[in-house]
Amino acid sequence: MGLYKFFPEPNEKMAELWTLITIKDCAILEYGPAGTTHFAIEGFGKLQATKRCYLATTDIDGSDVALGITKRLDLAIDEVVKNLSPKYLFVCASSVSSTIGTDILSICQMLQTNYDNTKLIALTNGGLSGNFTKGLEDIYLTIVKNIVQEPKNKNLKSYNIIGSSIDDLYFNADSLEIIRMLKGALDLECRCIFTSNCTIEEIEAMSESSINIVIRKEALKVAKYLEEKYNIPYIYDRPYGLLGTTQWLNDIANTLNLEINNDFIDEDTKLLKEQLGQIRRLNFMYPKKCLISGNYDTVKGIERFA
Amino acid sequence: MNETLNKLNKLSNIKENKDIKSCSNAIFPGSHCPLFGATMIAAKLEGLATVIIGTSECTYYNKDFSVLRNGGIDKDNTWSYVMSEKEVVFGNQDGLKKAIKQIDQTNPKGILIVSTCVPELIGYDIIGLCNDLQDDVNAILMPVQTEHFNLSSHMPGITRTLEALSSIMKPQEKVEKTVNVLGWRGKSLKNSELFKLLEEQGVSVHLTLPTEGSIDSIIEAPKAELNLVLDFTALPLAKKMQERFNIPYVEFDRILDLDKIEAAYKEIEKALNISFGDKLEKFKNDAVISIEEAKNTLIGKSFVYGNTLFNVFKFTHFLVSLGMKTDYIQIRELYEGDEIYIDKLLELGCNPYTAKIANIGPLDDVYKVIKPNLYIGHEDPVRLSRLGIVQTANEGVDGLGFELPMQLATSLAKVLNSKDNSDNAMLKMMKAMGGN
Repeated sequence: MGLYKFFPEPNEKMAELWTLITIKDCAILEYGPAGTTHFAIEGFGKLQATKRCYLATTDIDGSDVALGITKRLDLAIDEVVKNLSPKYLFVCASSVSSTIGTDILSICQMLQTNYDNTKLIALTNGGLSGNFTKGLEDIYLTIVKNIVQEPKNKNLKSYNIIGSSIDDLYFNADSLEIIRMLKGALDLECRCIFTSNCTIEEIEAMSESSINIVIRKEALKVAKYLEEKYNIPYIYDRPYGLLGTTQWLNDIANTLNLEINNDFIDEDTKLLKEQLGQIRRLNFMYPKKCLISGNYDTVKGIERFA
Repeated sequence: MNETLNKLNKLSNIKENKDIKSCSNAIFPGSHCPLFGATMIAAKLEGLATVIIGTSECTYYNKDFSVLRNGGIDKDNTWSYVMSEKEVVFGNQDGLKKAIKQIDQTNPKGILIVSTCVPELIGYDIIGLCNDLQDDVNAILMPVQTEHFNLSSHMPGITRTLEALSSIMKPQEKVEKTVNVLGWRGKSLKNSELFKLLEEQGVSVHLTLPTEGSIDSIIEAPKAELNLVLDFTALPLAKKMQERFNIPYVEFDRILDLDKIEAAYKEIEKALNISFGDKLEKFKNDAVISIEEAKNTLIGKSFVYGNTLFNVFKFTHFLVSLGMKTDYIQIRELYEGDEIYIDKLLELGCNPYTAKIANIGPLDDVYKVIKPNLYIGHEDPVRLSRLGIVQTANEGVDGLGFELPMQLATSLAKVLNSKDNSDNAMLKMMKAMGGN
């Protein structure tokens, strides 16, 4: 992969942990050296996200590594299931367990027969391929395939935000703005912010929403899966700028066959135009070149707006 | 019997590290890894570049920590060599050599090469690599292995890094009344009792490793007449320096025993040919008086030992000798000399449950049975407060010399008294409202 002077690129294991850690009532058990988990907890804290899950490590020592003993994993799984009774327990490999070839999947499959009320979900990525994007895509789909349930009560005026990830700089503000706009313009309710601020229950009920708002391309597979399985349409775009946002709202309105609240649009447009006017004046007087850096969808959206 | 406590050994059954059990199989947050320890030492050393060899996870989080430690990315000289899947399978020593040569071109005086779990697992020979490459680069190459699956915590990372730094030292002409301070990771020592005494005697500090150091000062470290070892992690370094450069050392590692403090001061006097005069007696007497006063509050109070910078057994012995009690102590691992204090504790009738450190998740279960007055170390303050357990992480207990046991005893007494005072205040309020 290479030499980095600044931050190396996060890998797929980090994508997994950063995705799961903000889900309330989620349980995660990592099979690997304790330091990996401890470092992750401290590193994660700087992303301005809230840890909502149960997270633990089994730790691992030289004997486990040399002899391939996995007893501590069996005991830890049993302990978590009996003490916490989580509906879902994600059992994660580590770089060490991957390198020595521990078969987390088989272990979970064997142990599953002991637990009726907890689903063991094996995450076998050891983090060696170094691909955050693929990791995010995979974990999103794994969560949805294992947790989303058949709809009980379809809600025609609700949606899920899909692809809200804590590695996005303004993930929280972006979600809140989407919620504000969709409430104001279309009187829609957000059911699930997947996954930066949600609960296991909300994920289970994602199938009850009438549309999915996809704000990140890594979440597209999730949207397509939900469309195919539960007939939920999706809009894939990030709203930036007056034109972009208006278009985005229109797309959602058309998909759901709803009328937009023009008063809300007029009010917001008026405020926005005042701000845009000032920026245009400054740019005219002091033209600047800019570098846009960030995740693919953010860069694409801001570039259109800029 | 409590399920959690059932898993644990009592102190009398602790003979080796494997006797120290974890209070649960699912652990939170877990110990820090030795890589963390290496970065604690290396991050702030001017003139040193560090390259971490490992996965993105290890290198990313470590970089994050290193940047924090340095107060900004511009000041940080930590590099990351991230191994690809192909490299893990097939190895790539050539790629690593190329990377080190590239770092060398930025002209650091030393390059610390740190291998982590995965490269160690697959047998990367970084010691051999350094030997092989040394002639091709200008910087001095120092290998440090930090495989967590073989090492219990971040402490071996600290020890190994300090030892590795000794390879950069060169013979120097000795400068009289000059000392090196090894292993101190706390606040500035300038206002400590020990350092004020040394300053009064005209003794100067050449190097404080790792808190205030540079590669240049490490290279010249052998000019000191004496090494003061202020933390056990620096003992192997001190021994190496004694062997290579004939520099004696005195251990002054957060000693709490007043007689041992006096003995350590005497050793310093002898090594530097100085005399602290009657100040030692005065300081010792002051300590005796303050500790006796604090004892009034401490006697009979119980504590759980979580984690501090002190040696767990020396710390526990000190408090138990003042009349405190404990039924639960958490231990990182056993170190040389611990058996002496374990025996002393058992002789005092103190035989607590022992548990592996850094696992606070399941302690609710323990508190139901143990019901301590005080928790010493880092824990969830909300949980402790709900259970009526006072907590201290030894804030302000950072001196050296006789002041240290004095600070500890008075600090604990103050913390325990504040709990009592608030209860009394509530009683007063209830009475004022007409209650009994």
